[in-house]
Amino acid sequence: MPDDEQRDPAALLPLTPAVFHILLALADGEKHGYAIMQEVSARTDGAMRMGPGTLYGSIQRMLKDGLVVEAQARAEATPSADPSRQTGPLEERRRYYRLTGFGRLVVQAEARRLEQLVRVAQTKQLLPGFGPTGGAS
Amino acid sequence: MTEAFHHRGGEWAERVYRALLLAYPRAFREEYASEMLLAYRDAYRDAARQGRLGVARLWGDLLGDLVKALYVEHMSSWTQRAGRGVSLAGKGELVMALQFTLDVAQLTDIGRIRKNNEDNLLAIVPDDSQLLQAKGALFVVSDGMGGHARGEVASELAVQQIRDRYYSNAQDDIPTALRVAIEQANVAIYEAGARAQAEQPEAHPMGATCVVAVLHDGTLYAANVGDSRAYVLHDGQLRQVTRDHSVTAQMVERGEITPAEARTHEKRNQIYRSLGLPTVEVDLYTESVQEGDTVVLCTDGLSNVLEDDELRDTVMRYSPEESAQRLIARANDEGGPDNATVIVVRVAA
Repeated sequence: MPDDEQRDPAALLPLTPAVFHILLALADGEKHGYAIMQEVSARTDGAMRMGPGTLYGSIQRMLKDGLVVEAQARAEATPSADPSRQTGPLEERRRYYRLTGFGRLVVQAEARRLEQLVRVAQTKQLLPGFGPTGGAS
Repeated sequence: MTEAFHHRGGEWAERVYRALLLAYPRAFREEYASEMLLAYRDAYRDAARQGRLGVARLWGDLLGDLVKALYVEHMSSWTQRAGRGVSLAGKGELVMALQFTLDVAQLTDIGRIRKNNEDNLLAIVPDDSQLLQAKGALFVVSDGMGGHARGEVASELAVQQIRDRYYSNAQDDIPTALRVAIEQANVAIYEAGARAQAEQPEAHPMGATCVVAVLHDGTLYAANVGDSRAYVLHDGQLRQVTRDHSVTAQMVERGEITPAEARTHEKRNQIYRSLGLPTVEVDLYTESVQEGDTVVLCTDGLSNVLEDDELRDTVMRYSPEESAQRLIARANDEGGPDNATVIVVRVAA
């Protein structure tokens, strides 16, 4: 992995919505795939529903770019009411992901970039409440 | 909740999802299929708690996800195979920014019989790299109909409107933007026709066909109305991508006549869809294209005269520029019965 200090987080901006949401979801701790999907959906009131293909496609690229790393895979007690159902190794291991230092810098840089855009929108009175004249309506 | 998951519908649905996973590139699948399946199971379990509607919504999401992700993953694996070493930087756009060089030739000819050329054509490869990246390159061929130069007006309106509407549409879903652009062109032609008839009740109605191709990275999006065609030459095989909206094409499909008979059939000029009517239905086609493939758009002035084999041999053998010239010359050799128009686009390395 290239040295975090050496890389410019701004070079990766703007992030795709999927990548930004995944980084946000991981900002407060490591999570497995479905937990990320759930958090994204909950935080956007269901407006952004990320599917497994988009999620793992993004994660694959984020791993390569050093934004996230795979944390220790761990078994999770998945409740199975039906013992006849063959579970196999598939259900025993879940991959968890966590932010790298560089990933944290990138998500911060993206948040700052968006904040600046929001500020522009406010000064142009597109958003109520924060315009130079106190905002419309 | 486990009951909900284990009911029959759940198992059937999971089998379907497993099967869909096979559509991903192998390397991606080997790495992530089991994780995706786990995520799917969780999602299904949660959705099933909300009953049928929840499950239906989940599948809507899953299919949308699949289409989008498949596109990105296949493009990405293709890029890696091609050894271009594109750093994906966690963003799909970079993958899609991969640009082909397009070798484009376009030619239209009045033919030997007609007094005016009612065909129009347009080829746009935007200089602006952002526009090219977002919308791709656009190619349009249109065959106008209507006496007293009305056909020329209609086909010119068609190509201009499609260009302007397509590139000004902020919608980033290319097929949708393409369909909307053609629908808007249809309205413009219909209104122009209606205005002309209001001023001059004896004015001829006007209409036009169109075949449109957008090349955006590794994908060809084709759309058509009427009997102008899009073909793709891939690996020495020429395939007609669009389906003609013509009476003779229907007869061929029903097995009543052969394609060769269709070229000279008395109803060969009858089409059942065109631009210039109050409403239009646009057919859309999506194909992946690779380096070395050639896309050909043409009007019936060419396809009614030349056999597909001759089209294939010409395009395989010559550069786009020379192919276009030879094809039009051949149409005129055969009597040049109609205006003939062709655009040849080769996807080069």
